[in-house]
Parts: sequence; C-alpha cells; structure tokens
Amino acid sequence: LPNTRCRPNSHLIIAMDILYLLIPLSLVLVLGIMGLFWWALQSGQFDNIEREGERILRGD
Amino acid sequence: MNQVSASVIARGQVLPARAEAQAFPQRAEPEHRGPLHVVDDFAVLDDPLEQQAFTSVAEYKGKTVSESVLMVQGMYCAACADTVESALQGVAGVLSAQVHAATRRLSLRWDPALTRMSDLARAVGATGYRLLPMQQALSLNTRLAETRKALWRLFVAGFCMMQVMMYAWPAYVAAPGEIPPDIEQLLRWASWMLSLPVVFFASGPFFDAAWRDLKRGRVGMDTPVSIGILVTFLVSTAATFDPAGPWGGEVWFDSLTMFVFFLLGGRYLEFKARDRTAGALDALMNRLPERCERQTPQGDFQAVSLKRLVVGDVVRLQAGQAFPGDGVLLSDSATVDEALLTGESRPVTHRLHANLVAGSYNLGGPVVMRLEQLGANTRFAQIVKLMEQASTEKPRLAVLADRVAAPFLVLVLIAAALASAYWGLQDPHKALAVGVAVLIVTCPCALSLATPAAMLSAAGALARRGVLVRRLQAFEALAEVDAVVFDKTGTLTHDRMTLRRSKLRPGTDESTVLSLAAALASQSLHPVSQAIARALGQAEAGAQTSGEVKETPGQGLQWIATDGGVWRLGNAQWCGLTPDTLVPESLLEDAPGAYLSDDRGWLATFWLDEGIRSDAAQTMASLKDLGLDVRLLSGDQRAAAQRVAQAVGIERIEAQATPERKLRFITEWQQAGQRLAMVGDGLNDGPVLAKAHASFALAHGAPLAQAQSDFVVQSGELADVVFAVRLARQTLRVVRQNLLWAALYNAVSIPLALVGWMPPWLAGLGMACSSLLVILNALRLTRSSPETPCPTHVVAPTAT
Repeated sequence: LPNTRCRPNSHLIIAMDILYLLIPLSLVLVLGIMGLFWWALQSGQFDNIEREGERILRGD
Repeated sequence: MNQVSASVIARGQVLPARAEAQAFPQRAEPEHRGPLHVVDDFAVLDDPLEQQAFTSVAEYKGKTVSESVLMVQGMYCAACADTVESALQGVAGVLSAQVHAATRRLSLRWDPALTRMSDLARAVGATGYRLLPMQQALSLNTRLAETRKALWRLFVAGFCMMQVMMYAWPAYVAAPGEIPPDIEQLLRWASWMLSLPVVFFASGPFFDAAWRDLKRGRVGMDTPVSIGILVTFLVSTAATFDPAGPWGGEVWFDSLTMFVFFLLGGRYLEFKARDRTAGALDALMNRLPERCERQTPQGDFQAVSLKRLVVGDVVRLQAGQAFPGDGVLLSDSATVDEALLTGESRPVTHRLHANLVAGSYNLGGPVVMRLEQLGANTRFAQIVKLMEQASTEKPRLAVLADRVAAPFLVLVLIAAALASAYWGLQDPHKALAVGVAVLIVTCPCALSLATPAAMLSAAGALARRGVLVRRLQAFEALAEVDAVVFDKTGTLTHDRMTLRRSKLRPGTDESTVLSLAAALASQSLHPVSQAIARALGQAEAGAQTSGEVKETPGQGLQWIATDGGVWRLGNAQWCGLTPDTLVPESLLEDAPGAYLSDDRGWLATFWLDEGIRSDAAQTMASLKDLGLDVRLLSGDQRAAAQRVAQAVGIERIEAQATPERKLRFITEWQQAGQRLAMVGDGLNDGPVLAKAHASFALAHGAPLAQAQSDFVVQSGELADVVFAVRLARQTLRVVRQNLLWAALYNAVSIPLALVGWMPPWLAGLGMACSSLLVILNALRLTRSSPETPCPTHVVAPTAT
C-alpha cells in the first residue's frame, strides 16, 4: 500500500473517524476494568491467593 | 518490629522461653523446665482485659458481634485448616471462622451473647489443636491494608501501562506522516489521561522517599527516579498540548508508565518477602496469657491473669513456672534457671529475701515471692529496652545503590546541561528538547532494580533452606563482615547438659547403681539431675524408688528407702564427701556433675558436659576458610567458655559478660573499625544482635531476640550461617554486575540522546531490555543455590 502510506486518501480518513469513538471507549473500558479489580481487591480476593489451590487438600 | 516489642512491654509481662515452648509444639518443653501446665487454662481467655488485645467489636447483619484473630497451634497443612473450621462452625454462636493455612491464622466472628471464648478454644482443643490469642491483631490489620494498597498501586500502573502501550503502538510502526495529525493528537490525549493516575497515585512511594531523603539532605536511589518520572511527565504533557513548543514534539508516556510499573513490581515483591518474614516471627510471639496464683487477704491463693497483678502482691509459683516480675523470695530457698537473662546454663540457688528476676524459671518446689517491679520496670524489660536502643544505634553501612545514586544524578545533570548548551549554540530551538531527552533516557530503571532484584532472589534461596531474612539490606553488610561473634549457651552448645562419663565404687553391681541413680535423678527438675536421668533412664527403665525422696534446693536429693537405707545424689558436701575421702580419679573438680553416696560413703561420680553442637567445629573451620575471624562472647564462667572454645576451635574469648558488657564489647570492636556478624539465641544476646552489622538468631531462641536479628535460622543449624555468608558475597557480586550493566546502558544511551538519535520507542525498548537483563542476572542466585554444596560436607570454600 505505498500509495496510501504517502498520501492518505479521503476514503481512509473517513474510516479513521471511528477512532474518535473507539479511543475514548477504550479509556472508559480501562477505567471499568480497574474498578472491577478495585472491588476484587477490597473484598479480599487477593489476601490469600493460596487458599483456592489448597482446597484440593481439604476433606469435602 | 518496634511495634512488636512495644506491645510486649505494654502487655507488662513477657515470658519468652515459655512462648518459645508453645510456638514449637513439635519440640518438647525443655525437660528441666517441668511439664506444661495444660490444666484447663483457657478460662483466662474470657478475661475482658486479655480479650481486648485480640478482639474487636463489630457490626454484622445488624447485631453486635466480636471479631477475633487467633493463632492455631499444631497445624501443619491445609487439611488441618478444614478440621479447625468445621469444629468451630459446629458451635452455636460462631458466625464465621476462616483459617489461613500458610500463616496459621484464624479469623473468627462470634456472638459473645451465645458463647464464650474459652468454649471455642475448648472446641478446637478437642480436635487436637490449640488456640492462642494473636497479640499482633492490630498491626496485622495495618499490614493487610498496606499490602492491599501496594497491590492496588501495582494494578493501576499495570493496567494504565498496557493501554498506553497500545496507544503508542501506531506511532512505533507507522511511517512518518502516515497517521493523520488529529488522530495522533487523540492518542496523545488518551495516553496523557492514563498517565495521570500513574504519576499522581502509583508513583507516590517514590516521591515520598525522595522527599524524605531531600529533607535529610541526602541523595538516595529514589531521587533520580522521582526526577525522571517528573521530567518525563512534564515534557510529555507539554508536547501533548503544545507540540511546537520549546520542549520538543516527542511524548514518552509509554516509557514513563512502564518504568513505574517495573519499579512498583520490584517494590511489591520486596513487600511480600518482608511480610512473610514478619508473619513467621509473629507466630513466635504468641502464647496463652499467663496466670499466676495470688495470695488473697484471707491468706489462700487464687489464680489471676498476670495483667491483674500489682506491685506488692504476694504470688505462689509451681515448679516450672516463670516469675511474673522482679521481686523478693519469701520462701526459704529456691532453685532458679536464669539462663534467659545470664546465658548461664547451670541453675542458681537463692535464699530467703534474695532478689528474683522476671523471666527466670522456678525449678524446685512451690515458692512464694513478693512482687516489687512489674512490666516496664523489670530487669527483663530493661534488656528489651537496651535492645531497642541498640537497634537504633546500629551502624548502617551505606547501601551500594544509594552510594551510586548521587554521582549518577550529578553526571546525568551535567550531561543534560552540556547537551543543552551545545545545541543552544547550534540550534537554539532544539536545545531544551535534547536536554530533557538526555534526562529521560537515563531514567534509572535498571539501576534501581539492580539491588532489590538480587537481594530478593538471594532471600528466596535462603528461605528454601529455612533461613528467614528480616532485613534485605543485611546481605550487603554480611558480605563485608570481618568477624563472626558467637554466643555460647544455646548457640555453640545445646541448652541442656549431657552425661560425659561416670565412675562407680569398685565391686558394686553397675546396673543396680545406675538404675538407682536414674530413678533418684528423675525426681528432680534440676538440669544436672535431668541430664543424668536422661542418660541412664532409657537403659534402666523400670527402677522404682519406694520410700521417701526429698529435694533440698541447691544441695541435692535424698532417698530414704523402706528398708532404712539412705542414698544421696548431689554435691560433695551434701553427700558428706570431702576431697580427702575421695580418690583423685573420682573427683569432679570444677566440671559440672554430681556424686552419689550411700550409707558407706562414696558410690559414684557423674561428669557432665555441655553438649557441643556436632556441626560447630566444622562451621568454625569453614568460616576461617572464608577469611573471617571467629570469636566467642559468653555470659558464662571463663572455664566453661574456654572448654567450649577449645573444642570448636575459637581462640578469642570474652567470658562472664552481662548483656550490657556484651554490648560494650561489640561497640568497642565496631569503633575500632571492625564489621561484625553476631550469632546468638537468647534474650541476653538481644542487644548485641540488634547492634551488630549483621545478625543471626537461631530459631529455638527467645522470640524477641529473633525479632531483632537480620536472619533467623529456623533449622538451628550453624552450617546455614556459612551458607548465608557465601550467598551474601555472591549477592554483592551480582549487585555489582547489575550496577555495571546499568551504567553501561546509560553510557551508550547518553551519546545517542546527545546527537538526537533516541526516539521514544528506542528509549522504551532499551529500558525494558536492560531491566530484564538485570532481573535475569539476579535470578541466577536462586538457580545456582542448590548446586552450591552444603557447607557441612565441604571443607574448602567453593569458588564461584
């Protein structure tokens, strides 16, 4: 695609418009994921990460 | 750590040897200390005064409930946790019970209206485990909060880094001009947004540390780190909002977030390692609250919790119990084990009105004492205070990385200034941009990871051998020590005596006499009797002493048999012997031991030895091979110290040293410019352990001594000390290699930045690669450790 690389044509620029939606959306997504981990951390899920692995040794 | 001792002092009473015995249930209580008092002592847990140390009140589903943190003793696997949990869940009033298998910690939520703490302890006791209150319940909560916060910082930096990398990716792969300017601007704004939490929240610890250093007028590794973070962020921000400005048009958000993430990752691992060590030490400090029999105004004795004792109380102590405070003996005589305070392994006999010290043990029959000092005023607490004071005076060797930081910072600043000046003449528009580029590419990522990475992997290697590292920086100090100082009792020797040999009256039946001696000796808690009983007991089991056995503290035992015969076991005077009535070959002289006599006079002599550890001599030889001076610093008599020193091969001895004198010796040696490592176990070594450049505590010793030392040898094997010294030297070598590599990386990148050939993608790549290399190099320490031959089996040091 040497052509488009040197002179981006109008068709490609229109396709790029979607980035104005997608990039802010990705920001929101990252914040959402971080919120999820915040909840997991505060509810104590990372306090004892060996516990689930040890469950196999338990009786029931 | 200070928290731990402070809480111990605040509790008023510390009886460490007792705590030690309970913390190591697999090890029997030292025999001369008598049987454990396991008559239902859980009732003391119901005392509100005791409970407030480990229980807090909380709201749960609209009810007021108690939340307690306890320690489960006797638990070794995850399956045990299950047993304890189900035992508790069966009790009415228990709302939730959770056992943390690795730390043996139980978090319990229960309703005080429906059940009592002692009932819960009994329920668990029925399954074969023992519940002990967790003295550090409060510090535990703060530690948990800190761990969560550290992990949260790491998460924030990690997620932001990942996303910023994605935004940076198009700029890395696209040809110039391929990305439309508006999209590029959008990507920069997005990167800037995600860098905000990284700089203003996640980097907090670096700024805090740098600010602390600045206030004290020093330059540490965090200073260049903070400058790097701030400069990179400011320049990139300027480039984002004013691409044509004097700061240049490059953004470095990807390098910035990656840098912070790497450093936080290192910090978090360090934090975890320290947390694990602290948790293991916590386990030692727990014990049941002690009880004691106090005389009531009516004259009878009533059991109360130690916290309720006040000065002036008269208390009665059974054999094997520890004295709760300093005081005066009201009984005629008492045999006391003061090993904890003096390091002297032989018991001491005290007469009426003699002074007794808290923390020592009553070995004879019940004694009565009047308390004169309690809590912080006791001799015991004074030693603890001395210990804490010594730890603040500990000579801190400047950490290698911090020593490098200042010259590094100066060099980088000079390079940046020169670059700006040069470009100022050539092309004033680019001057500032090149100057900051130099500052950014020299960001000391690899440099500040160099030390912690090496020390963490060394600590990991030691942990696999059962050596806990309390202070990571101790590796550097240990690698550079000149001399290793040993304590005698409990360190070079076992803390109990062994029978060396015995001599009998010619013509007597050996087995009869020996079984008689064993039966008689087994009636006493005295260490000499215990040693004789232990040595002869197995072979001569079944011997009976029918009749009356009486013990006179400090003298010996007397048995009047039913047929009227009188046998005595004890010192020469007790047995009615004088040097002229004895043949020279059967004389004890100054060695510890005992005589046995019957109606006809001398019958037998028993010589005792302090049992020297089997690996002691080998360890001394290995340490000398490493070029270290070995010394003995003992609180015991000179002759005893000399005997042990000769047996293991130590030439330099200081004997009869009190904790204060020991500390003075260490201080003098340190002032003479020597770097010392100390190996000890008792509380009397505590101040010295705290003061030495590097210190080892053996795990059977006093918990407080362990809490003050840099390394805790859990196996109790002296060979581990040699291993640690070797590993420390190897660690220092790796640290030096890492620092050299980091310096080389900078030496290459600065010229590139000077000529303006350092695009952001190359800077990021260089930083990631050099950090990775530093970490991989450090990991060699973990991998190489199993190949290092175990010091017990080699004489010559293995060159690495």
